[in-house]
Amino acid sequence: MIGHRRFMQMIMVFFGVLVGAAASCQTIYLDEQDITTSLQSSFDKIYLAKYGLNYPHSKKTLSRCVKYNDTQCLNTHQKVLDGKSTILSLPSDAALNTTLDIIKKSCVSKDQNVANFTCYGGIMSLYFYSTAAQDKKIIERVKQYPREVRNILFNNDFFWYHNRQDNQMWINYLSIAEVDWKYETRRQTVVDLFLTTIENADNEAWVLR
Amino acid sequence: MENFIVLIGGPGLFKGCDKAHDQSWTNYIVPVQLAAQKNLYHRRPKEVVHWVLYEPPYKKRWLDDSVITAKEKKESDGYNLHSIRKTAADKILAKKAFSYIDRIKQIAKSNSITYKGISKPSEFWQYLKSLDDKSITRVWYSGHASKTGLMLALTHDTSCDAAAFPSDMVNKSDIAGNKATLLKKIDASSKQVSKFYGCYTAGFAQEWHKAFGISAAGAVEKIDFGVVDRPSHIVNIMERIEKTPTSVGKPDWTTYK
Repeated sequence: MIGHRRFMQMIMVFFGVLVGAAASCQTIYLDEQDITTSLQSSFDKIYLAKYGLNYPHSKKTLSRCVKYNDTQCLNTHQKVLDGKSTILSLPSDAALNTTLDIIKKSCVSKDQNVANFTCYGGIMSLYFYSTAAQDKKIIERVKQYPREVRNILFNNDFFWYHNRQDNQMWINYLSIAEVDWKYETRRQTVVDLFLTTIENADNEAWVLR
Repeated sequence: MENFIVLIGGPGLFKGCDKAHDQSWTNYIVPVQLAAQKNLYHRRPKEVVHWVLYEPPYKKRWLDDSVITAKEKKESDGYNLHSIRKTAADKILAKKAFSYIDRIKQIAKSNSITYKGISKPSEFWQYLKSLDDKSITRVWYSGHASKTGLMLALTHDTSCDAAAFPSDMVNKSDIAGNKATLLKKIDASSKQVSKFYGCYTAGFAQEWHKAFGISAAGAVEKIDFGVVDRPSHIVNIMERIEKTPTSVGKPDWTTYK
């Protein structure tokens, strides 16, 4: 015979396991639409790390924001962190596939907000997919993208250039890539960026926070 | 002839949800206007001053402010009209101008300044390249900025967070890209300082100095254009912007030479 107290403990453990299982099922069985929605919203948030007016671009600026309680700055910083952690919480391969789809669609959108916040935020998020297999997947899709999407990918500086597993594969591709380079020396600039590690990148990298 | 270029960025739309930015459309015009009127440019005898205005944000803002003003004339309840916008639009009409851009052109003309309107950031570089060799003595900027570059216009996301679209930006990294063709246009012997009035412009100024070998200055931290309208013991408006602390401390205005 087990006592009443022990019985109640067992019941609580049982329900605890049930709740835990439900929560993990929710994570595992996120459907494509859920992933798309989560990613799009996260892209809009991380966009602010590069193009936001109130984002603290350095640790020194962030500590000023804390010291003077600059709520706009602190809120923007938190928003970027939220976006990043949502992206990282999703199943990586599925999230990458969806990201590449979103980039293709959003970067040619007529809607200005989508064509900026979502498109550029999506491209910025490529930093979080850096395995050799993911790298191959990205380059294969980039080759198939419309030229105007490639123009955006390579005519703006992004941190994902710095953490490619096979940067030589990218450098080889850049020599033949169909891109309208925004100035004569841009292709070489991008090559140099692919050869630079994230630790040596210009500006403090938001992706490392 | 010597050429002194002032690039002027624009405001975002009036947003009641963002009290910190662009409640007035004139933020980036008034300092350079006062500088012209009070000779804070220290204009040299042979120097031609050019105002290179990024027009799209001024067009959008005028449309947004003035249409609602006109609408209010018809509607007695003044629906959704903020008095700041109405006052601004009315002032323009009282000056016999038909838009913000038209008013800026009037101001430029009355101060013997050459006006150039641009609709893309790349046209700023094109304009510099169109000038005579070794004729550019200095470049100033007035407008929004971030560490990434000069934000010639401002927008807001769905939760009213201020940002710029990349297509409205002169990026810090564009300096290196334009260096080869622009180098011959810059007067490397110029003792004048290129000044970039915007938040976090020190990196841009440093890059400018590095590329062209002339003195350049910018803010390490934020600056506040609103100090122009506030009492201060600093009479020189431009110096006031450089030195007055904002809500997050000193601007740390820095010159690279």
